[in-house]
Amino acid sequence: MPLPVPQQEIADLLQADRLLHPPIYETFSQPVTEAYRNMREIILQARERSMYLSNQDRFIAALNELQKTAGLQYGWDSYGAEAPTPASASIAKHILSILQQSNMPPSKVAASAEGGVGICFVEGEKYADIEIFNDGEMLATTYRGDSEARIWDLESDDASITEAIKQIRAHLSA
Amino acid sequence: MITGERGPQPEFPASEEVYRRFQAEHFVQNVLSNIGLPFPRTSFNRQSLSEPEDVLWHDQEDRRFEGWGVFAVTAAQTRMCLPTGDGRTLNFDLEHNPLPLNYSHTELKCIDVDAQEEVKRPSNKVRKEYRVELSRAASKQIIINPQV
Repeated sequence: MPLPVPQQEIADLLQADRLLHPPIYETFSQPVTEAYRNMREIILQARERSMYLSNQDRFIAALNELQKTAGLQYGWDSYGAEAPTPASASIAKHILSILQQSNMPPSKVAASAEGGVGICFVEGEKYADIEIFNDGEMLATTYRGDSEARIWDLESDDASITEAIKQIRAHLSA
Repeated sequence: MITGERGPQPEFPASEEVYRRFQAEHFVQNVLSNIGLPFPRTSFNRQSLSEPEDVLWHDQEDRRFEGWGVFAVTAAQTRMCLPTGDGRTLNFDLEHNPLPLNYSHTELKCIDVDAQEEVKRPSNKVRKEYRVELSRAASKQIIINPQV
């Protein structure tokens, strides 16, 4: 059972602490609190503007989207689409890790109606995706507005994936 | 619309639209991604025999797909001729294929031009080319926006 501490004893201890560490208990003048408030506001605004932190949030969202595809069943699109296999989801997760190293978050990760997983990027009228089929084949796509689309095969090695990401980044930032 | 004794109507005017439902996951910043479109035998409802909202109902069950979107493409936009890369050319077109409880049901099919026979499953790359072009046309004709 805890022993009650008399109120006076607490007050005496606090007073002793005030005398020992006066700066901690000093009441700030108005200009000091304003400077603190302004600095806090600047830090919060910088955080919101931080591309790195924003990108980290987008990667968390992308991984959540990928995880959602794991629970899909055959016919998830109401038209008889195959669910992504664990193998295609695993490749998609690996591509997301390479994208994270490149600090290039996707706009969306979704199940493919062809069976597999799609990783999509949209910047205004510029579109790109990497589609991982359940049979292990991978295709990358880029197009802009009404211009001709470019579609190419990807090998499963990291060098091919990294090169595709590089080309998609160049396409989106052109 | 129940099909009953009616047979298919094979003629598709170029301007006739076909409708298909899609999920919000495939609608990215107002772009319908090809990731949400399959091929072949992609199902649609044809305009002359249905309303766009009808496609939000299941073909065989009394079930509505709440929150899904609907896009339209014209018959002309579905008609494409793509090379396979191995010397063959594939023609893509619509086929009215009524179901017992959905007379407007229509499917996309793919014909080998030289052999004049249906190709059940072209390569991933040819299918992707087709899906990309179809999704680009569809993105411009979103009739019902999906609920995110």
